[in-house]
Amino acid sequence: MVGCIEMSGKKVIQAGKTNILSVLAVVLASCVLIGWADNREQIIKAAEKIETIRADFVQEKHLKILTHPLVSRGHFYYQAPGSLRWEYASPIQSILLMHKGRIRRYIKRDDRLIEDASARLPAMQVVLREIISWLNGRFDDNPDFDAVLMTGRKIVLTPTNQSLSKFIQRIELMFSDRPGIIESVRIYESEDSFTKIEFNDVKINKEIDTSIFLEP
Amino acid sequence: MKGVGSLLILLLSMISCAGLPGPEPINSLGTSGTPSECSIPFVSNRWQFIHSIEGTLPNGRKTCVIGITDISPDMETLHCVIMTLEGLVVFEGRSENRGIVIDRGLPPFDSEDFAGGLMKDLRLLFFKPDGKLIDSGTLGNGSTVYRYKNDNGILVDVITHQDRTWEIRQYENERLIRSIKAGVNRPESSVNQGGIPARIDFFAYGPATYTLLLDLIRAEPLYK
Repeated sequence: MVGCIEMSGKKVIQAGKTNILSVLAVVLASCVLIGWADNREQIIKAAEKIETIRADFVQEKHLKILTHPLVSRGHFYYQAPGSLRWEYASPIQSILLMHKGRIRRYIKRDDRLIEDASARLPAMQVVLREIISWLNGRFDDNPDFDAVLMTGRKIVLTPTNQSLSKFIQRIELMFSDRPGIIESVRIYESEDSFTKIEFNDVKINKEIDTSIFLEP
Repeated sequence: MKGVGSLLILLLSMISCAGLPGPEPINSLGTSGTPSECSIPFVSNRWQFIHSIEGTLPNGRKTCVIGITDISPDMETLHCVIMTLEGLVVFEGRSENRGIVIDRGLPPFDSEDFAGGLMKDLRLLFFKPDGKLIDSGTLGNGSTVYRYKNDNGILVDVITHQDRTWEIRQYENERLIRSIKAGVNRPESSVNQGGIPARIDFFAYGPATYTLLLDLIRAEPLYK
């Protein structure tokens, strides 16, 4: 089910599967979304030039219940066409690995690594297949969101169906002025509940040892 | 020789059982005294706790989430949020006088059964047991036991140890159904400066056995 992308604030991506973990897909995919662009063609063209991405990230969770945001920090690695390492360093050490279709997730506890069952869920498999599509710049393969390309290097993604919109209101991707770089992602569950992820020290097309996608 | 064998079996049994909660309530509370209210481990003011929670499910698989809990002991209210490490809120609910309210729930966290069970577990962990304090005493090792019993016959032992670590054991029909340990056998993660445990081990027994290991990320007093 392939959607369409149009320019200047019109509909970009169209519908399909709904999945709670699509949110995760969007977060992860956003990190490697090849971003600087004024239109779909530029985005895809930029994506084709990306072999690897390495970045640090700071994640802030804002919730009404929280007296102040919960801050997580970590590292992000991507290697085309579909290898991913999404690693939290604090407050909880965890590593999500994806390589050649195999997905694993580990939690570090008391100096031991525990495999997290959630990575085995069929839903997770679906999500990560979507991520691969995004990594290759095929945003219009994503069935779950309408996307609007705004001025100021921003894309706003809105769920296309009710079951998804029950838990995600919208996603805002801010592109850097540097081609190929995402500056930040905001995932709104409601107006007073959102997750903000900022990327820094982003390095593109630097050599990454494949082993980091294989072993935690 | 037969006697040595029996002793060996007995020793092995003792070793294998060491550290495990007893299946039945402690029979003797040792030096029994006039029951007085138990203060440790329950906080008296409003607090917000953030924990990483490693859950071991009945099928043996493990998963990790983040739990945020606001507790208000004077009002006996709870507000709880469960979210993934990525920040996706999968459950938000409150336990108040008028009952349990689910503000947000994504499958499988959206059922009333889940919310009810969660709030029960949180109440056991953070609030003084409901019912009457029926006995208290000191064990041979110096630990103090406070025993509560509610109208439904549920028995709760709150055991505080000399090193300020503590345990809570809940029994139904004299069978252990919940066991909570804070810092027990884990001196490295004992109790922090504010008396809030850095590590809590929560065990649920019965048809759906599960364990939750809670590591404290943040604890903050909440002021009105």
